[in-house]
Amino acid sequence: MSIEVKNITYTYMAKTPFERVALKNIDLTIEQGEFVAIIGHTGSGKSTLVQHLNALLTPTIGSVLVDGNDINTKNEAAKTARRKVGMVFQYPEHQLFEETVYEDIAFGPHNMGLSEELVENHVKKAMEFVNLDFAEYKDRSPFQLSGGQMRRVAIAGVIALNPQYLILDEPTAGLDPVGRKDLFKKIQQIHKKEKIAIVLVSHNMDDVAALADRIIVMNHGEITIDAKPKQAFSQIEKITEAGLAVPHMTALLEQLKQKGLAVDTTPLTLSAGVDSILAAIRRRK
Amino acid sequence: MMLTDITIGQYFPGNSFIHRLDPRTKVIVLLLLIVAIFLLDTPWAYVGLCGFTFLIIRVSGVPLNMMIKSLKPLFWILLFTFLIHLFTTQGDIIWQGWIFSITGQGLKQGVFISIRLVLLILLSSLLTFTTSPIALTDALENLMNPFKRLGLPAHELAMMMTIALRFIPTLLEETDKIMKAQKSRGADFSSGNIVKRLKSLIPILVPLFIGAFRRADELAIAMEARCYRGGANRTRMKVLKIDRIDYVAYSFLAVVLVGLSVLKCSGL
Repeated sequence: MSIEVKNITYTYMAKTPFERVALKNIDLTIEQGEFVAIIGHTGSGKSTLVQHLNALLTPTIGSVLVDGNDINTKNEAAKTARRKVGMVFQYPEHQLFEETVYEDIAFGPHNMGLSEELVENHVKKAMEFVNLDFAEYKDRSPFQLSGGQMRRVAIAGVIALNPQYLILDEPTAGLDPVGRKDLFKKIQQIHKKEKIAIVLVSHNMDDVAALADRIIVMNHGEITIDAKPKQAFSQIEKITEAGLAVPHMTALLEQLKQKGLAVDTTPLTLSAGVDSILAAIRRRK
Repeated sequence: MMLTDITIGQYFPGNSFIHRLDPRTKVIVLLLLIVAIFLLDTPWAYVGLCGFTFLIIRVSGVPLNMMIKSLKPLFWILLFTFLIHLFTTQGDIIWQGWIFSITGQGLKQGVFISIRLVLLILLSSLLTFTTSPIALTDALENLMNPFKRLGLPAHELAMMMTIALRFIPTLLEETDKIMKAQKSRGADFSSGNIVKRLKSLIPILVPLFIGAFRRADELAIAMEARCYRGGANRTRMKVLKIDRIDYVAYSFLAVVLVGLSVLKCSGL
């Protein structure tokens, strides 16, 4: 079970002066249960790429298979694919429309044709996941909530579909530090507990460094790095070329190494970084 | 077709003779041509006008298929107008069937009115294709200036137009994004009966309106923060200037219009 992207190319507004190739020969397989981060600067094609994963866009060349079914924007397989592959857009709270939080989260399950009972089940579970109390919030208008709460309602609306793969496009944009930390924790939790594959789109290395098991770096519509975090971040040149910064920890350790301290530069979290520096100092003595 | 592929009112960048004309020249020429389109009523004059339109489209470098695309949204109106004229004009009957009858005059009227509409659309599209929205509103503001004394808020009108034009692509993009987001949640916009389809628009329209109001609010604050206050003493970065090529365009137009009038008066 996996999402396979087979050699796709995508061109925006073909045959006009606005023509722009957004993706070039992308080959990619996302296995079930993986935690993948797709990183790239603005306009690198990362958002375009993820929109192919649930048939919102059809590749100009190539094909996308979700669990073995070829999907494109028009066929039936696309509909099932959209259930399996949940997609949270940037600023998802801008897509809220219902009168109550409950109704908005239930929009997806209703479209799946579930019975009222099951819908309520899904909604409850989704709200629990994003830390919104069901009884307290279900009848409130989503437009009277705070920004962070609206974001959580919107994300719950996608989680209520019970997807096997969850794509999040810059889910923490515009959130305060506490909200960011909270959301990342939740995402990690759903990944571990429910075995849902996560595809996290971001331009911030620090955010994804500690979370993902696999890093994909995009530059000018092409994949330039596809590796485990430690290997990915050791390719500093390619990362800088893609217009990105390595995580702060990697940058710090690299600098220490250049100054002559034989330190291991692979750690990504603060505590591992401290250990690595301590170990290097002890060795020197 | 994707929403972002829509080309109506879109600027087609280029550096042709038409692109380089002063936008005021283009607006005035368009107005004169529209008058000409409605005054002419002889076959050869239309041939001449069609030829002229075709010529300036070629000169502008805008691809023909893009021009034809601009006609597409109005296809049904065109067809409807043609049929109405075809069947309801009194005159000598050339074909009759059931309750319908076609007259020679009707056919002629129908063809003429269709050509008129097509030319109108093509010429106005050519104006927006070859003139950036900013240049176009500058031109309109400038042309409306004489009416300021009569109390016409020329600057404000132009500003409203600029903002409206500026936000068309943004709103289209937003619509596209909202549609995709709702599709991801299993929304279906293309099946079911008319009631169901109209209902399926609610998840798009509500966020779209909220978004539009939010943007309007933000824009107003941003403008106020930069001390914007209408047309009082504002200067321009690009000052409009009638140049030599504008005189060339006017002279050419004069020749064409005289030629067409001659055709009309001699009844060809």
